[in-house]
Amino acid sequence: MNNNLLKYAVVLSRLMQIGYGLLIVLFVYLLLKPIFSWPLPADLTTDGNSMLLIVEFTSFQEILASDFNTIFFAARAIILLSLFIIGLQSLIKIIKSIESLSTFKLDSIIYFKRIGLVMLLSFVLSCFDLSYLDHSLSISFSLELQYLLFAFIAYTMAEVFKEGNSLLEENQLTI
Amino acid sequence: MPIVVNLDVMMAKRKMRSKVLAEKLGVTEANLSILKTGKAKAVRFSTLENLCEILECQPGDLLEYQE
Repeated sequence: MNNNLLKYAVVLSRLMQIGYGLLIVLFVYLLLKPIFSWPLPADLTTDGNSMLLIVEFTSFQEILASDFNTIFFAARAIILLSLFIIGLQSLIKIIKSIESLSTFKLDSIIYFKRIGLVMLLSFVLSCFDLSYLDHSLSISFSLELQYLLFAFIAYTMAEVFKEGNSLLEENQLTI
Repeated sequence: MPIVVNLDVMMAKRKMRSKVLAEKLGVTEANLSILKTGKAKAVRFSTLENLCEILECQPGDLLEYQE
């Protein structure tokens, strides 16, 4: 199928994967920094230069105040970003199956279920927020409902594709 | 499925080989095999009509209901 929209979607997904991969590298650096005591790059120590870090952490210096917070945030971010990369990979495979006119194959159902699972895990991971400030551990709870919504959409799409798969099989087995 | 396809019986009676029947019917041998082994989920009326014409039989000779 020659559909430009699908091609753009694949390119965008690949770019997002690369971006998430680079962020994982950054968070791995943050995770390993307290262990190896590496010096921070110049742009991370100043407030104004890195827009990305300002968006991610509004109180970056505060987070870096203790090793626990750094490790917790970095570990959680690595897991979340890894999950997003897995989800995007499944999305790319679904788009490729649509391009190759094998849309309703069993694989697409598995990929949609995988995206649903990834979103559910992201929802659970983003619910809890631990921070260690002033010698006390505080736990905050927040509902990131957009992940739950994406999970529901993915599972619904899996059911739709399951129905499509049974129709495809019926069509193929009609002589 | 309680519907049994007796196509192989009818083919044996008419002494017709799968390859010849598939050619006359305009389907692949693989699809004819699906029909013979009872794996098919549906049969088109046009296919049934052609089968009856080629094998000189009635639809009831090809299809049977077994409980």
